[in-house]
Amino acid sequence: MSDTNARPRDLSQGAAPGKYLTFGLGEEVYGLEILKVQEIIGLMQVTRVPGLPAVIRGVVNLRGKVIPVVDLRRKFSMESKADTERTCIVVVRVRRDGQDHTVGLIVDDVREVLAIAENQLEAVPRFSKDVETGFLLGMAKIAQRVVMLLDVDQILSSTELWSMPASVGGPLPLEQES
Amino acid sequence: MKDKLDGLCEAFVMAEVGDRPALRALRHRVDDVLQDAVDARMVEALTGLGRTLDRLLAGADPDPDGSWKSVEETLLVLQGLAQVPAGAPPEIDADLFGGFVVEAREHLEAAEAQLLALEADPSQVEAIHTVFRAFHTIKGAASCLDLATLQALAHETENLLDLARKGAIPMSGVATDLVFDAVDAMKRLVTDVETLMTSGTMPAPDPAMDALLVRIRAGVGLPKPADLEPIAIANLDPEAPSPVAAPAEEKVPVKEPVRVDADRLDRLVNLIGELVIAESMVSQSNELRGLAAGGTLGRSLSQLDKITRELQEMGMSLRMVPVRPLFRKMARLARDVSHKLGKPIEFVTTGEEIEIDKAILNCVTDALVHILRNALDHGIEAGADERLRAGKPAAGRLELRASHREGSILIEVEDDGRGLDYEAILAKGIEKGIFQKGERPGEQEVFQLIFLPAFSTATVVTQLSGRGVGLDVVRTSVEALRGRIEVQSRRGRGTTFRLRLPLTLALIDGMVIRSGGERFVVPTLSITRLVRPGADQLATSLGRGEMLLLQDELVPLFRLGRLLDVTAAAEPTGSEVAVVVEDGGRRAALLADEVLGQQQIVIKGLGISLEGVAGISGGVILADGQVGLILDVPGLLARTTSLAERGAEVVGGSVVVRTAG
Repeated sequence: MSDTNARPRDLSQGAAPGKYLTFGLGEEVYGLEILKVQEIIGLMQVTRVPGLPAVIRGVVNLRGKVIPVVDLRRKFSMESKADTERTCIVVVRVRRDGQDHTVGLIVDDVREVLAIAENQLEAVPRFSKDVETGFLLGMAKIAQRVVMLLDVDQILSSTELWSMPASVGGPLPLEQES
Repeated sequence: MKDKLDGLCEAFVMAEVGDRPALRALRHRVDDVLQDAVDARMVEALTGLGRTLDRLLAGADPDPDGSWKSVEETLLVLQGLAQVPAGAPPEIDADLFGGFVVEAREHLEAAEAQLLALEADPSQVEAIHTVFRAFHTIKGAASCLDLATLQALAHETENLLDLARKGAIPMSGVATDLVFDAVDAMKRLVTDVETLMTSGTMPAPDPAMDALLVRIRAGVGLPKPADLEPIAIANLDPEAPSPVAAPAEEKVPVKEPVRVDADRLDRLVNLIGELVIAESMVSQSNELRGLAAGGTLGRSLSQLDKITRELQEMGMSLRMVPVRPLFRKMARLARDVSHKLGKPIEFVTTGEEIEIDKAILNCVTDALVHILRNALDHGIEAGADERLRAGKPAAGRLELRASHREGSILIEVEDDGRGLDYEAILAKGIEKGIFQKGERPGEQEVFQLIFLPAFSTATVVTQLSGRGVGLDVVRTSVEALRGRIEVQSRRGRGTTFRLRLPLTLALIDGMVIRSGGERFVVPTLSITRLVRPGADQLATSLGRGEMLLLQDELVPLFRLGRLLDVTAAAEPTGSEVAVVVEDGGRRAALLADEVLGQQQIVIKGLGISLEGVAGISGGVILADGQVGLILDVPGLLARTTSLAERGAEVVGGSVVVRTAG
């Protein structure tokens, strides 16, 4: 995390009321801003890329486009668990260095789209130092459940997906969207 | 109105160099335009113009030169007035401006080519006309779009060229340089126009522009041929062999071109690539295979296959452009550099009509610039004496060739200079610890060193090259295009750089291989052969490095499964295949479990930074829709080199590096 000093976040810059896609990861429920979500696809054969950190499970073919998939369980240091029928890939779009990237997130199961109102939002509480909260936008309390709202840009920028600045990346900017 | 003004300007050009009738014609034109003029400022300017001309005609002008200048300036003002309706902000029509940029560039390129031809053979008067027409056309278009600076520059250059085409000044030396400078300045201005289109603001005018205009104007007053030895005007001497008629420009049947946005074209070609893959997924699907046998479905499928292939070929051809513009650019560069260095050269190109993917052409330009500069700076001998002593003509020879070779494009740069200095490079190699003292490696192996970063044997760092940056960059960029670069040289005879480039970036031929449960693709271009190694061909050294015996060569062998951490690598079955790959003189054998076949592949980025992932250069959609990974052969070899060297030591340094033939 590069911005450890910037915390605690100001709620006004964090989660905003609106629609969130919720999904389950172990016992916990997480939410993603619906605008970041491109689509949800069933788990398909993932091609491993040797030499990448375990957080990236590999790459898949999304209608002719190769996208990386991040294993969120591994990202959040949760225990791995065998894929099930309900395991799926949430395809999100993130913007980085002025370019749109499409990335898949492997989650246990997708729940629903929730409209979250202002009064349901809460700031991220401070946990002990070793709980990484940088990629939480905020929390929402809905029907006695807590939904953790994820800052997908943070998750992916802190990921090993881009180990180097884009400028020294691959030799050819193949298939990049602008 | 505009036509009349144009006529007026033309009459002015005529009058400037001509005699009284021309001047009188100009005077008439002024009245003619005056009849149509409505704008008060225009009427005023025209009336003034008429008065000045009358004075000139009467021979009663105290300062004829000054008056000419004022006439000219007034004309430019008039053209400006005719273009901009007072008060209206200039509107940028993207189509119009875009078209102008493209056309102006084409004209400038043509002009440049003709200038080079003219310089090589000053008797080609037709070439001057072509250059003149180019500037004239641009001037006309620029005035339409109210691009005053461009218009003024084109106008001045046109004046100069006009004198030259009438034989009033020789088109050589200073004049040629001026026109070249004008071409360059015009190119910059055209780029400014492009900036104007994208950003809406015109970049600040180049302060050097005025100086250039002054120089060109001064050029108009260049010595008349009478003051000079009659060398430049073509063959006035009756004794001289009659001039060979300037080869008429080849008449190519005019095809109607359609300008298409490059992005759209790329998307089309990508989509065709997808279609090819989707088609092969359908026709190879197991579900259909049973149904298709012999029936109508089978026939339809093969029809579909045929159409897809044709579409693919068509799609590929859309991106192909001839290398001609690139070669012309290089000719220009060679000319400038040879002037700067004072080394006369003869520059020859062959294969200008060879076509190559435009994207590759763009990427390979810088590489060629480096190689060409290198050849001129270090290759060609500094003085004519040195060349004459070596029994070579005084002028150096530089050849740029393009040709097809085994499904790829070969671009060669050959000079007849000093050649690479084996001893010097070897000494440098020893100094850098690459070779042991007393070692005598093969030429090819030694010459490869010049592609290493910061490896320059040039004793003098010149303005142009020799700083040790260059050839390593060239190599990297060529490899990024999945091409290869080789160098061949004979001491005292010259050096040849050979760039082997794929025809297109969009599709490459790949060999699909399997290791354990994973599939990889090796670009066919990197493969030299496939071997099913017998037990007697495999040698292990100290249980560490493995070697493959190929005829009488030992090639380091790597098990893909181990190299790429394939988890479920199968037990050796005895049916493994060794894929022998080569890059930059290095060879290695990659042991795979099975070769699955060839496939044309569309290379895809993985959407991740592959920095730090040695050995993978991208992804590809395989026939079953899964993603396969493309092996990056140079990267893999670099990763394995240290291992290979250890192995080589063990077997007594007998690794033979193939000398490219």
